[in-house]
Amino acid sequence: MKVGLWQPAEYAAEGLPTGWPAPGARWEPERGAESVRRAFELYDLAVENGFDMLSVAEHHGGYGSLVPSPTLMAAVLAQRYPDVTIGILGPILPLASPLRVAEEVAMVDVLSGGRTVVGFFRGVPTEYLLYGTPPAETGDMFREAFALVLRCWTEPEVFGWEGRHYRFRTVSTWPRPLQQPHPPIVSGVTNPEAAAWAGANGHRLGIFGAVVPPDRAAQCVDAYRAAGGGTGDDDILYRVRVYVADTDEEAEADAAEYELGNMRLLAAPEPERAAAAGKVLAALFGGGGAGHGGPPPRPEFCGAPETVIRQLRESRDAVGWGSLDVVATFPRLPYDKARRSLERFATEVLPALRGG
Amino acid sequence: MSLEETRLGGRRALVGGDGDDVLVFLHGGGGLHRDPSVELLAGDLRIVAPELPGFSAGEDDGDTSSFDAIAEWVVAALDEAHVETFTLAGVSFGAVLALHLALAHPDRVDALVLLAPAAFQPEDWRLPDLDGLDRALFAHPGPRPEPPDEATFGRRAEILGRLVGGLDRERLRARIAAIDAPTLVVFGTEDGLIPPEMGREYRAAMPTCSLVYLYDAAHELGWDRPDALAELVGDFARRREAFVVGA
Repeated sequence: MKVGLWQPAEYAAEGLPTGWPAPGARWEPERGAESVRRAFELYDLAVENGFDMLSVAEHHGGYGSLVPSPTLMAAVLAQRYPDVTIGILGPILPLASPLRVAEEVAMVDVLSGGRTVVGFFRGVPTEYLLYGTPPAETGDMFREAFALVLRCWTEPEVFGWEGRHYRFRTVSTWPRPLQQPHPPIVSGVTNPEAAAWAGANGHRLGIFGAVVPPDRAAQCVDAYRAAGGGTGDDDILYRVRVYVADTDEEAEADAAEYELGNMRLLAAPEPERAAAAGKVLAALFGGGGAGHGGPPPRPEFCGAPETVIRQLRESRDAVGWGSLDVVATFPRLPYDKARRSLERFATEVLPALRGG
Repeated sequence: MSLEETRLGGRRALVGGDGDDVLVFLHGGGGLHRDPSVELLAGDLRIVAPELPGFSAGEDDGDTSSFDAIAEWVVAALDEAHVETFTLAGVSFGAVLALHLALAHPDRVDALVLLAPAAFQPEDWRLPDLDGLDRALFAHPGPRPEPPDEATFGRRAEILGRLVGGLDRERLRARIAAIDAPTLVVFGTEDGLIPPEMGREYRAAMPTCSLVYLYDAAHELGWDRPDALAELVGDFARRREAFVVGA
């Protein structure tokens, strides 16, 4: 199996009020610097313990992430960690020019010596609000931008693009990816139909355990393989939230106290703020609520090391994943606890899983 | 402005539109129809769209012995209509014909528009079966050209198979390098009849060629995205060299 670490470089915000969006007045430069130092400390820990991949995402407008540009962070990781895969997972296509996304991912692929994998995302309503993007159009924008990015990487001639959302007379993508025709693509899916599409198109499969229940994840894996998807460890990436404490009791107590289930990155964290964002989106664009999602109230894998080992083995058998992308930090969890959890995972859970 | 049906060179034709500039439109293997994009182009271009020899419904004994023979018929028909120089557009089969006409009469063709041209196909190319044909031609539901009767369909298929199937592609590839009229090649990203990647063959072979992908359209570009195609072709017909930076 392969394992990666995903983290958003949270703002070191202990003691600050929660809430979204985060006002600029809350930015304390020293805390910002400390946040980045912590992020690299966790990446260091992962690499020292044999993780295969470090992955980054794109999020905007809150304490939950200091990485609005995944390619920028990926470029830094590529230089700092010369031997691991860099997961750009990934750009939010409706928020950026597809041409710039194609260029920057190609650039990181070249800078990293061809070590990137990439996944693309549609974004969430709070991000559309921040970027002034009509939510109802983002599905079409995503599909078109994805087709255009692939065309940028694969078309040997200079070309024009007459799209519905994007129009360019002269497209010339430079640099091109080092990996030809392009880096492996991870398609993040939530249903078997999308998984089959990913399999039929030669993509890797990405499943986020927090939003796809295990039985559905297993259906996705089956559909992916039935459609011709790959069968290697790399081909099915399961991103899961993991919290490892010394005992099950401590883990459960921390999960409750620090609201480890609350994914502040994916929606406005408080229902009343989500409702407020939804009203603004409706007024601006005629619809597209900023839904307050209902992720499970606790991390998918939570407990003492032996408990998490058992849970993950059962999950591997039930779902059929080949690689894990571990989410080990949580917005309200004190950093020292997150670090200890990742240490336990790296030194106790991971060796056991690699052993079978 | 809607196109009017008239006679040209003894055959049906659709003509209309205002403006000094003429756009000659050569239909594809499905015959002459009111392509919605051509109707839109009739706004500020004068459109001449003849029905080609061999493609009439019912009896048709036009000379279809070669692309060159059909091209000569088109030029004679344009002489009759007092059309001297023009932007020449063709769809699929009609685009291959347009290449032959431009090679034979370079002084008549100001600019060339090749819409899902059929001159080049991958080595393993084959025609989709009848069940898959609609999906190959159209990416969206909506209006379709009227299907022909069986005899007309069979005659057109014979002409397409003989002329397109019989092309000496390498010779054509070498010859079209000499075309110096500004050329626009458009392929739909969903083209199920000819892979859109074939567009790069023309761009690679023709120094004056620009390649544009029309997103979310299949082989029948003008039926799938008429507004976008009309704007694209109209802009190219007006601006030509100023349409895009070549390379």
